[in-house]
Amino acid sequence: MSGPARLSGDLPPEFSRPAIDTAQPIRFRLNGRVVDGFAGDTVLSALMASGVASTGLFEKPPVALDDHSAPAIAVAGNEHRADLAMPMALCPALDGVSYVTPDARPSRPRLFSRAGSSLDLEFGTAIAPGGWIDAPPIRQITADVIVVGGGVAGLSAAIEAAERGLRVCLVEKDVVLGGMSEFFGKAEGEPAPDALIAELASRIGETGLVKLLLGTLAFDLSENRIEAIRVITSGALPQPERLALTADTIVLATGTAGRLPVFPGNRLPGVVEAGFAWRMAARYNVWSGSSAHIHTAANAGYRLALLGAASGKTIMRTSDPRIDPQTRFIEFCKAYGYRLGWGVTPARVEARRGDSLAIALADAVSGTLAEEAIDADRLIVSGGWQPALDLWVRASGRVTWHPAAQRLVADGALAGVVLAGSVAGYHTLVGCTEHGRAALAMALDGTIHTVPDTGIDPIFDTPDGPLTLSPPVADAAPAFISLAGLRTLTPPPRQGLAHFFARRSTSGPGWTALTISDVVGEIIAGRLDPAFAGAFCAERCVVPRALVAPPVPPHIPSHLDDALPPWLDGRFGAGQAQWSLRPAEPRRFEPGCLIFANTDHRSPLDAVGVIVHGAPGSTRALMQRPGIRVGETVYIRDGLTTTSARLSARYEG
Amino acid sequence: MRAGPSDMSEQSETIAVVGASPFAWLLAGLLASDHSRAVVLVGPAPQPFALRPLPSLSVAPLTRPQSWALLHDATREAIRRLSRIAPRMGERVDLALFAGSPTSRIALGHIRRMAEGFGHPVEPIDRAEQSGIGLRDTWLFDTALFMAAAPRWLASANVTVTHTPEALVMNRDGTATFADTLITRVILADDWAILGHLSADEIAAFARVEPWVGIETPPHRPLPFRAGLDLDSGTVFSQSAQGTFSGAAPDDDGKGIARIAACLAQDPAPRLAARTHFKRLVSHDGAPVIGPTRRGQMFVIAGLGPLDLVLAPTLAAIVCRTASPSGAEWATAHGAALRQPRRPVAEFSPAALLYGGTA
Repeated sequence: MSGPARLSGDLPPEFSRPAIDTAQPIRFRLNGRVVDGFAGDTVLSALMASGVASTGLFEKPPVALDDHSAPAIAVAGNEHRADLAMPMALCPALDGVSYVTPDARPSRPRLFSRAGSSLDLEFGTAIAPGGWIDAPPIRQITADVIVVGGGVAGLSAAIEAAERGLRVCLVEKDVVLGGMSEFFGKAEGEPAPDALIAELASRIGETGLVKLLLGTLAFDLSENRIEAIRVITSGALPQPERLALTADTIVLATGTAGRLPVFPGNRLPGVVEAGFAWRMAARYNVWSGSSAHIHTAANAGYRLALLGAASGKTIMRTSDPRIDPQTRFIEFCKAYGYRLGWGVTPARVEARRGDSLAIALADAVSGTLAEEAIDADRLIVSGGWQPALDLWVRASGRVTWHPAAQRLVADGALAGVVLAGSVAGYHTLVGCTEHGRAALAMALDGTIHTVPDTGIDPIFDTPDGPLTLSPPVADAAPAFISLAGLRTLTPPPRQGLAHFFARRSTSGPGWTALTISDVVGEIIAGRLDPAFAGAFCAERCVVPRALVAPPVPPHIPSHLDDALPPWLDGRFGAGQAQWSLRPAEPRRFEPGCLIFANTDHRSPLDAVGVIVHGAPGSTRALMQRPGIRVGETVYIRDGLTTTSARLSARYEG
Repeated sequence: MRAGPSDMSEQSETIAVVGASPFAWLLAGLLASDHSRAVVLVGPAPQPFALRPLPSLSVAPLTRPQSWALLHDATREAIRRLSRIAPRMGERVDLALFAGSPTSRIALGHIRRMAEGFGHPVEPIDRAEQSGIGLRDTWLFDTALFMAAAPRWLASANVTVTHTPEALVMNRDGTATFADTLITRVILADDWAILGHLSADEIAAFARVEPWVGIETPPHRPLPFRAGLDLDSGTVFSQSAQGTFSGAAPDDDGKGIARIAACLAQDPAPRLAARTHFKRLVSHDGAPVIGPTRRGQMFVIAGLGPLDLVLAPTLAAIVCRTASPSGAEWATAHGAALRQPRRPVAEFSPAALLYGGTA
């Protein structure tokens, strides 16, 4: 009942307070497939717990199911209502509900497809954005301060604002407060993250001035307005609620996003980014497979090895591109007796039958392949962390490339918007917490408080390593440059007939809206000069809204009266004048028809006049002056037709 | 238009072309390669994958026969010249012009007869609540291809390229100094250069600064017309050979993207892939502005609209005083120093109508 990928038994404390209620089993359908789960599950977590590891096919190889690749869903019957689409990762799994994926096509059945482990959807060149980005907000919320992000920085900013008597709205996409602090673990001299989060959350409640919007995704920010989506339950059915939140002060405490090391096969089912793996395990007790290999360039990645082992999983090995990294978590790993491999990186990963992965490691510097591949059910990877600056950029905030950290970082200020905590570059639990308050104070008072952010000495806690890239390999699974999109490295050209039949990549650099993570991937892949990263982000990190709009009424004057338009001023010299004409045939002439002195002339340079009013009975022309007389015959050319006309009188208006 | 013989002293002059646009790069190269001028190109380093939402075309909604004649004379040679710099950068497409308001419908009628008179195949287009015409076989230029080929071409023409605009020190008499070189003439070749080097008052004498927005979409189903222009607002769009839409519209009221969306009008609608906000100079009378300004001595080129690339060889000849008599006369009539509106050359322009053709 719990699902093949659900943790059970004795679990470590971090995995012992999930959002699910195992006493309340539920059952729902997705595209007709029956899925079991628990109350508190999202549709995504229930699917993953049920063993669904793949969303479907990108070109040929399958893509792992995660919060980036999960398609939008709708309640069956609403598939044609784009405004009723919901993010799968936010949508509660409700008993008896039938869901569908309105924008994703079922792929063709495959000969060796693993029945039940894939949603069997087929991607084009991009994952279709959910219809909620185009839907108008149905609920407006106004506050004095909006805080986006419910980690320690966001919580402390909200408390600071509330203590000043301001109305606060705190938006958090997760179903609980706290962000990723628990994942990063406790450092010596710092409070335990769970205790600190509990204390901050308690104080939030005490203020009575903070409105919490959990499970709410803020996806756009423009000036002082945030666009967001959440899913509420109405009459036992899930229902999307599009929100527009407005405040004079906006605090972005959006934290950091896990980065994906780039190697062939890095988005195969079974490969999972460490932060997402932790969230699924901590919130929903989802952990697929019985064995795992951990590859991390960041110290926190080692925690998953420890937590996985404590949850009864077999950790095959941990690897790290850094040479001799130091962290307290490694010491624990050593104590457990794990095999540790340093200075290596995944060269390629292949799917094997029986849901396992073959992981080939290579020397991180020379690229020399290790002799034997590692077999594991799951590969958990961490390529370090990128400040989650998407909302910042969408609000026209600038970013610049930090070469040493290999991150895009915020540059400059935005009126009414401040960054707080790790998105602003803070690392420690205390630093992020204090900076939440400081950022709010800076936004409200303009005061700048120096916030210490002293972490563990690098001798004992090696800084995160670089985001590694292993070159693409012909006939291997694609190497995706980020989690967010479907942008891949271009494999070397195929040879022979395979080259002839090869499908051309359509993932050009500017063809879809990008995320900050995509841009980092482009830089790492060497396709974007980091010097231009800021301008590139400003143009291309946008919400991919549908270009639908009613015609905008023209705002030029709609009537020119009898006055000549400016583009006819002096058209036939200073002496030009308007004349009434009497055409040989009573018909309408379109303004602009040219008038010639004889039928041989055709060039507009030879025209002696032009129709300015062409209604039958009141044909009027602008004529050149010299030698012109009443009764003179001229010729009106209208396309291939020429009509004679006599000048009847000078028009005086 | 070929470069005619010119005075040795003129050939020895050093010209600084200031600009960031493909037109500025093209003009610099033409001055050096076709007119034997020593040229320094001053502008920012070209940003890879930069959005260039304003299309370069061989036709524009002109209402003056003299302008059509100039264009008619210039096009064949320009196509040939451009294709030698960047093969396949020009492509024949169908251009649509739309008009909704009574004023712009009248203008459309004039433009249609003018186009027909100069030999362009024209056909009416049915569109809800708008009149439209299609201009067949219009050239659409891929500026990204040009910018990719330009560095090598400029190098072969011995154009000195500097991406540090501050290296060019302007003098009051219109000359400048670059390193140890005396620059005898400075050409501000696009809006970026003019906005960066002229005062607001100087600019206001000949143009209005309009906020614009530009967009790009992922590849999408082809439209019947690969390029289009809405006369009511000045909104322009084009579709690349890969299917990507680019478009730009005035955005002073924040409705620029809605204007572009209304022009594209497809089901399913294309999605936004990129967006940029920029300032655009619109001359008060809708006509191009060419020559030294009234107060300063710097040579400005503005308001060419989509004809920038196709008129570049003509303008290079005008700068070097080797243009044909009709070209020289056209340039004189479009002088930047003339008080606007310049009645004999005023063109249809939504901005000119909206703001009365004055500063």
